[in-house]
Amino acid sequence: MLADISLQDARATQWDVVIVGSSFAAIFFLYGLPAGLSVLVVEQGKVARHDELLFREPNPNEIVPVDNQAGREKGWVKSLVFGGNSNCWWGQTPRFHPSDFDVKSRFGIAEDWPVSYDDLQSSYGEVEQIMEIAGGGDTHILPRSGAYPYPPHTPSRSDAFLQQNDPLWVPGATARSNGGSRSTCCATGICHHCPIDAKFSILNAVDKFTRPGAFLLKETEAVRVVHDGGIATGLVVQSGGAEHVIMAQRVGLGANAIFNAAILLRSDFRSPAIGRYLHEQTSVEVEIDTPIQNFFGGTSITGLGYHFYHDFDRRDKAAVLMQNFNVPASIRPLKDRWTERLTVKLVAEDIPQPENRVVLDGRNPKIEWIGHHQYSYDGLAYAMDNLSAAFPTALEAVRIVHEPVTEAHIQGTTRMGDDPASSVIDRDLRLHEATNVWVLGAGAFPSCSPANPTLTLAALSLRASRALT
Amino acid sequence: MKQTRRSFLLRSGLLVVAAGGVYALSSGLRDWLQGQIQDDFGPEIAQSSETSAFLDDYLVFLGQDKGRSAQIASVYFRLKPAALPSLFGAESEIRRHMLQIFARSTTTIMAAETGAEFQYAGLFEPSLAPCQNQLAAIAV
Repeated sequence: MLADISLQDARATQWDVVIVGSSFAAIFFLYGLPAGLSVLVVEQGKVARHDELLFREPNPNEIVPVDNQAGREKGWVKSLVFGGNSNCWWGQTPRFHPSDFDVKSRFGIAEDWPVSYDDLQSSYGEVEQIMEIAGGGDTHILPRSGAYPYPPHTPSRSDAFLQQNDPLWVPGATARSNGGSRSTCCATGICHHCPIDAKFSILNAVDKFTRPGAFLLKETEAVRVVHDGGIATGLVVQSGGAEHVIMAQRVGLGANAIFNAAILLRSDFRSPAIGRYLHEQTSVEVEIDTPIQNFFGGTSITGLGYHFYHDFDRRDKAAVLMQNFNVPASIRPLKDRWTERLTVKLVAEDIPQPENRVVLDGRNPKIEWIGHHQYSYDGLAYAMDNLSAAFPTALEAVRIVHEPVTEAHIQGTTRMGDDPASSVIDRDLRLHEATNVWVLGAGAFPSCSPANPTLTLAALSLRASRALT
Repeated sequence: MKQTRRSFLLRSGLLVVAAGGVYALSSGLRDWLQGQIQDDFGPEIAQSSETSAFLDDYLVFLGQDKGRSAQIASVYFRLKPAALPSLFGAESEIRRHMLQIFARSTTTIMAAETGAEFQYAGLFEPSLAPCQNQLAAIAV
């Protein structure tokens, strides 16, 4: 575990790097820093053991008011505890598709990224090693230079059948263990509270990130960055109702895309894109009755379908990634055909819109939300209408059983780009307005992907700190 | 207010009727659930000691669980028919809930598909007993 430090001692030190937050983005940035630096991690939440977090519903979740003009319920997940959302994620770790990085050039939507899939390849691979990812069989869609650290989980019977018949169905890469230092996943279906701690979390892997010279200042809120003339000199924190300054040569903001934006706004940085383009995926869960036997897979989600994503025209409708659930999944209430029901989640990309944004209400963040882009819903509708293209058997019934209000991904409020006029940070996650400030996490995403963001945001963080000299 | 002999007898009678009703309807729930299992998986499985053990545990679970299906089961089977018209027809939801847990708690699917021995592995309640999903690879 990172060594604790008191506020008094933290204030008495001139730190090489101060990092805000302790979830994926922050801690993978820490991991890649050159040796020998003094590093302070500032976390607002407490440190809790895995068993203390189990079955707390909801997780300790910071509430942010939302001015929701969308006409649909909207939620966000912001876990306020050491390790952040790594404690309550599901462990889905697909890489982004190569086309996700240049959607504007290819399809005329959103923005291109200033980095490419190839730029991230080595960082992807390193994060997969650290997280002990289980996967395989998807190289024809997601190119990679080496094997996954661990083999994919046993497919469900439906995944085995689908993968045999269609190369666009592939095993799902996951941080739910199938070998390595953690317990092997046994398909409980309650991954957000994995009772056997089988999925990677910052908490259960913290020793990999512990290093000489790194300390944890917990239960302390980051308020704003102190800067002058384009150079950050420290961080203002709040503890015990009072503000204090911690001096730093470099600052990494890894709170999340809501609180990173709030910190930048409080710091009086001026980029017009700060706080804007908040987005995440939309999704529906469907039950599909079809003569394919299901179940008996090794983990909760055993397969991914790329039919509406790989080599897919995204000009006028969103790409959609399909997740085939082994558990939780429903039994078909039909004698002798109990397992002939698939539970599939369709996840669609969104187009980031400037009106969806984080603003300050006094000193606190507030979300202004006009809703997901119609493009995202059009992608879901297209996938629903064309589901039969993804299954070699007759679809006897298809029902939407759930429309989640969030995918628990907060993205886009500090977008990366080469142009300071339209972006907040550069390709190395450095703030255009102060290049010794790194703004980490999915806030950097200038476009959406239907794939889960964790592996990519961790790879971006690692790449950024590896580039630091 | 003075309690008359008549009102005392009336109240006592109502209490007896109410207690009996709860007992009868709870017992009725067990029989009904067993009937659902029999409809799907046949009398041999439904009337086995393994299923009996499952039903014992499942009824305890229903009493403890605060989820919608458990609430519906406890209300519907005890207050039916007039109290909550919105719950009419809730049998299908309760049946669905029970069968989901039954299929993950027992080897009933494999028994039906392959003739494997029918066994009850303990109630599938992953927060309490995580690695008992009988529809997972670990069960094969």
